[in-house]
Amino acid sequence: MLIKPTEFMRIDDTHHKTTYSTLSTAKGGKKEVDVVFKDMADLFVYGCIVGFLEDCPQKIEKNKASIRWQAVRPKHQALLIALAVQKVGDMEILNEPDELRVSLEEHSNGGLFKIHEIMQSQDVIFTDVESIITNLYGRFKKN
Amino acid sequence: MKVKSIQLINFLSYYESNEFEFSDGPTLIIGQNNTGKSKIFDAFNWVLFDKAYDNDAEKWRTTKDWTEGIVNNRAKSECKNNETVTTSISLDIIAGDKSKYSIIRDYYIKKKDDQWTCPSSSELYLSMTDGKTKNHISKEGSEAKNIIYEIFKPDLSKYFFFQGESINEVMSLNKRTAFDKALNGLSKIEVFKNFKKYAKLVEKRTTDELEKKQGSDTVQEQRKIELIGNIRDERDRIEIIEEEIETLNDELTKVKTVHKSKEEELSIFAGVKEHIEKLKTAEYNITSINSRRVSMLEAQQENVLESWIFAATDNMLVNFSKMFNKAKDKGTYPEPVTIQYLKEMLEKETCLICKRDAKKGSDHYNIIKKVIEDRTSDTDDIMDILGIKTHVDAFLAKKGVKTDIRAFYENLEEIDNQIEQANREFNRLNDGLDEIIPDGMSREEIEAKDFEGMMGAYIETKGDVEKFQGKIDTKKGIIRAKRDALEIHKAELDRIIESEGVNLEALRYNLAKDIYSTSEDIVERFMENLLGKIENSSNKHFKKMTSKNKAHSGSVVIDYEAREVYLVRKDGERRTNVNQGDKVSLQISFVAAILSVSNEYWRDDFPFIADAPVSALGGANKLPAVDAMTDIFKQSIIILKDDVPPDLPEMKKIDPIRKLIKEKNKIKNAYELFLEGKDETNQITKVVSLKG
Repeated sequence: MLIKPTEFMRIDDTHHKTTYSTLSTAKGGKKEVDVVFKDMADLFVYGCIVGFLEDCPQKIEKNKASIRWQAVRPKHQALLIALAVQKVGDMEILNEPDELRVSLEEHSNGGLFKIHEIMQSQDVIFTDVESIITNLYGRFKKN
Repeated sequence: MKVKSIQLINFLSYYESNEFEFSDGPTLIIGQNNTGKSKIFDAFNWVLFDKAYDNDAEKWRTTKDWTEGIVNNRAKSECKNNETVTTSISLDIIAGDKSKYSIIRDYYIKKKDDQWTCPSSSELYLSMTDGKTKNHISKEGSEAKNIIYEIFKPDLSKYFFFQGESINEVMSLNKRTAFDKALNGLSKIEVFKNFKKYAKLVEKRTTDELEKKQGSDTVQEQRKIELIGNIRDERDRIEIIEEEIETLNDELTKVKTVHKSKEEELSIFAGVKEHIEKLKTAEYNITSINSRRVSMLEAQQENVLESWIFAATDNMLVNFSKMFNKAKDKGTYPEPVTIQYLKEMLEKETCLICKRDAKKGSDHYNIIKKVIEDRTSDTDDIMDILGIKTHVDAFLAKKGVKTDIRAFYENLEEIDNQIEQANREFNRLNDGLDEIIPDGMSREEIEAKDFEGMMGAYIETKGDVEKFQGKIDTKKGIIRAKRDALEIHKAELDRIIESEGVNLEALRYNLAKDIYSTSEDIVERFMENLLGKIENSSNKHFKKMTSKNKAHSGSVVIDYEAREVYLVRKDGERRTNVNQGDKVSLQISFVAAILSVSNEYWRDDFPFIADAPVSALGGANKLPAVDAMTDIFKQSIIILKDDVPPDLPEMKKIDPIRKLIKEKNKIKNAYELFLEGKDETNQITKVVSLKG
C-alpha cells in the first residue's frame, strides 16, 4: 500500500465526540443495526469524499489517533488517492506517500465538519446510509 | 298527584338550602358526573322512604346506616363544638283530590369534642290540608309514614322512581318481582286471588264430606273414594309442578339476563374485534413495508455508499484516468517498472523509459541489469499504483450503476408511497375505532378481552336458556296431561254421584266445584284484561316515542306466559334485531304503561321521576327519547347527564338538550348542576335555573 497500513489515521478529537459517535459504531456502545456506518473507516471515506466535493480540507487541530490505515478497504483507498492526485494535478504526489496521507486526512476532517454542521442545522436522526446521503448529500440522486 | 317542590338542606352534596320547583309537565335537570344529579333522586327516596343510595357500598342505606354520612361535609366542617347540624328535606305535593301534603324529614347531629353524636333515626312529619273540607291534619313518625305509603305506593315505587340502571329488574315479569308487586299493588287482583283461594278451600271441604258419605254400592263407593283421591293427587301434583315452573321461570330469567348480557357484549365486541383485526392488519402492513424498506436498504447499504461514491466522484475519477494516461504517454510518470519490463529493455537493448540505447555491455545496459539483480520481486508501490488505476477503471467501467441507482430509488419511492397509504389506512381505522369502542374502555382493554371465551360463554348461556326452557315446556306438558286426567276423573266421579241420586253432600260438592271453576275464570280474565291494558298502553307510548324515527317499528308484546316483554314485526314475528334506541323506547314505554294503568286504577297520576333513564343511549337516539318522555308523562322530572364536555363550554350553545329546554314551551322548569370547591371533601352542588 502507498500509505503504510500500520500508520495511525489522524482524526480530530471533535469528530470522536460528535459525528463518529452518532453515525458509526465507534462510540457510545451502539449496536451495528442502529448506525449508518458499520465502521469508522467507512465514515472516514465518506467524509473524505465530501471534503473533496466541497473542496474543504481542514487541518487537524487535536489529533486523536485510534484506527490504522489498514481499516480502509483497498478499493476505497485507491479511489481516495485518485481523488487526491487529480486534485493536486500531478502524478508525482504518488511518490510522496506522507503528503498523500495528510491530504486525505485533512479532506476527511473538513468533510466531517461539513457533515456535522449540516446534521446540526437539520436536526435529523440518520439511521441508514440512504437517509444520510439523501439528507446530507443527495448529489447522486440529482445526477 | 303533582310534586310542587323539593327543598334540600345540607343533604349530601347540597349545602344549606337548595330548592327545586316543578310545574305540570316535564322538568329537566342536567349536570356532569358527580355534580349531585343522583342525589336529587336520593332526596325523594330519603324523604319518603328513609333511604339513599350509597355509591361506595353500592346499596341503598337507611339513615341508621348513613348516620353523619348523610349530612353535607361543608356544613359539618363549619359546625362548632356543642352545635347541631340539621339535614332536612321537605317535599310539597298536591294529590288528585286537590289535597295538599307537606312531608318533612329531619336529621340532627351534634358535635361534641370534635365527635359527632348521631341519633339512629330521622324525624318524619306530614301535614295535610284536605282538598274539599280544607281541614288540616298533622302527623309524625309511623302515622306520617302510613299516609305516605298510601300516597306513594311502595309497590309501584320502582316505576315512578325510575333508574336507568335498574331497568332489567323493572322489566322482569316473574313472580315476586317488581312487576308482580306492581300488578298486585295497582289492581284488585289480590281480592280475586283470595276469592279463588277460598273457593278452593270450600271445594276441598265438600270433597272431604263427599268422601265420607257412604253409598250402598260398595264397589262404586270404593271407586268414588279412589277417584276423589286421584283428583286430589292430580291437583296437588299440578300445584307442585306450577310452583316448580315458577322456580324454573326465575332461573330462566336469570340465565336469560346473563345470556342477554353475553349476547350484547359479544355483539358490541364482535364489531370492535373485526375493526381491531383490520387495524392490526394495517399496523402489520406498515411494519411489513417498513421492514421491507429496511431490508432493501440493508442489502444495498454497501452498494448505496459505493454507488454514491461513484456518482459523486465520477468526474474526478475520469480526470485522474486522463492524467494517468497522459503521464504514461509522455513518460513523465513511468508505466510501473516491473521486472518483466526491465527484462524487455535488456532484450531490446534500449531503455524504454528514457528511450536511449543500452547496448549490451554499455553502462546503461549494466545499470538495468543491476536493477533487475537487486530486485527480488516487484515492489508494493508498483503494484499499488497499478491497483489504483485498476480500481478506478473498475469504478468507471460500472456503466449501469446510474440505472441501478435510479431503479433502486424508484423502488424506494414506491415503498414510501405504500407506507404513506398504509399510514393513511391505519389513521382512518384508528379514528373509526374511537367511535365504536364502548365508553370508558381503552383499546388495550378491548384487545385484552378474550373473544373466544366470550363466544364460549355466549354458547354456554344459550344452552342454559334452552335447557331451562326445555324443562319448563316438559313441565307444562305434564300439567296438560294431568289436567286431562283430572277431567276424566272428575267426569267419572260426576257420573257416580249422579247415579247415587240427590244428596246434600253431592249438591254442596257440585256448587263448590262451580264456584271454584268460576273463580279461576275470573282471575284469568282479570289478568288478561290488565295485561291487555298495559300492552295497549305500552304500544301507544312506544309509537309516540318512535314516531320521529322511521327506522323504529313494531309492536310491544307482553307475553306473561313466557314472562317476557318484546317487540314483534308487522307480520307478528318477533324482532331479533332490536337496537339500543328501540330497546330504551320499549323499556320507557313499558314503565309509562304501568304508570298509566296505575293512574287509571288509583284515579290519580303518579309523577315520573327518572334518574339517567336514557343512560344507555347516545348521539342521535338520546334527544328523541328525552323529547318523547317529556310528552308521555303528565309530570316528569328527568335527570340527565350533561353531554357537553366540561372543557368545551362553548358547545353548550349547540347542545340539543339545552335547545330542547329552550324551545319546548312545555318545559317550564329546568336546572343545571355544578360542583363548587376544589377540595374534594368540601365540594358542594350549585343549582342554576335554566328557565326564566
